[in-house]
Amino acid sequence: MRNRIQQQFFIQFFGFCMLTVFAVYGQDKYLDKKGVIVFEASEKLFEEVKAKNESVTAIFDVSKNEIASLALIRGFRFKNSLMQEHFNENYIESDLYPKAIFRGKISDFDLNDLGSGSKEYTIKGVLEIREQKKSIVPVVHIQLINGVISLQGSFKVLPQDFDIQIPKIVANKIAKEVMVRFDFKLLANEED
Amino acid sequence: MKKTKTHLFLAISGLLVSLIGYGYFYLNQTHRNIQAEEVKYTVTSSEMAESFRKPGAKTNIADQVIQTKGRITALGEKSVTLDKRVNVLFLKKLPADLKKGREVTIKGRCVGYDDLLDVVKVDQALLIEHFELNINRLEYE
Repeated sequence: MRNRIQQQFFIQFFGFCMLTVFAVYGQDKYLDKKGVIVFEASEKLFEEVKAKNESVTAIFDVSKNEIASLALIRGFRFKNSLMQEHFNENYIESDLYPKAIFRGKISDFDLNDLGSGSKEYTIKGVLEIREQKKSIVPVVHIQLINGVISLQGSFKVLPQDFDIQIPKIVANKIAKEVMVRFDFKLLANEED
Repeated sequence: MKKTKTHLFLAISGLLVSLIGYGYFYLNQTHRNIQAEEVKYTVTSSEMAESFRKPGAKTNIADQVIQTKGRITALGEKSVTLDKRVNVLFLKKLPADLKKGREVTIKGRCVGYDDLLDVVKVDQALLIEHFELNINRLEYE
């Protein structure tokens, strides 16, 4: 009798340990499949040069504080369809270079430090577009809301950083600096 | 003499108006309507993934209108994942009775391959048909 109870206890305890291990393991990676990136290079008095991608992938590994994000170039949508066509065909050449990828690390981040308010951090990382790598250090605001990590931030890049030539005829209609904003809502073990 | 001048003036102004009109429509074209376009490729989810994964393969389905069939492995309000390989974003909200495990056929634009998640992305999609999952198939899985 006593043996049986011990046995049962052992099984339950073992099961509980396994569950804890899996739960902790599973929560290392936070994922967003529908992240948002907006970039803008508008000049005053001219038509806005702005596009939005609403299906950006972002993965945040909280055990290593590493973040990776991927945006498919063809997923960027402009208001003006001709601008979108030129962006894909002439500027980025999305058939040859279909994606933009960022990999970085957040310094001094600890998930347990996050309260209800948002905190400011910097991510040191590399953005790669058209096989050109550019180091960027975006400032991000991180907040934990009901188990969802909200990550919002921005940075600036230049078209030349990625070997993109802006033809003279449109040079004054496109800002020299491109402002990029991102908004990720990362979930642990996200299904969809 | 006067007549030819008037004619010339009319011809030039007519040309100008049509040029401006053409320019206006050229600059303000509407976006592609994926739903109205014909399906260019009918592919399985694994064929889609393979076409991007093979090194050096020509990824000719990117930006094309495709039709594919698969089992729902993840479900959102306006999105599904088919066979864990294809991520589909719909234009409209999905019917509420749609469940995981169902087989669906969709039409949409192939955006490209996401190598972080190892999935092919499709957007501006439309649900063509959905079936109950075949019971026999469940038993063998």
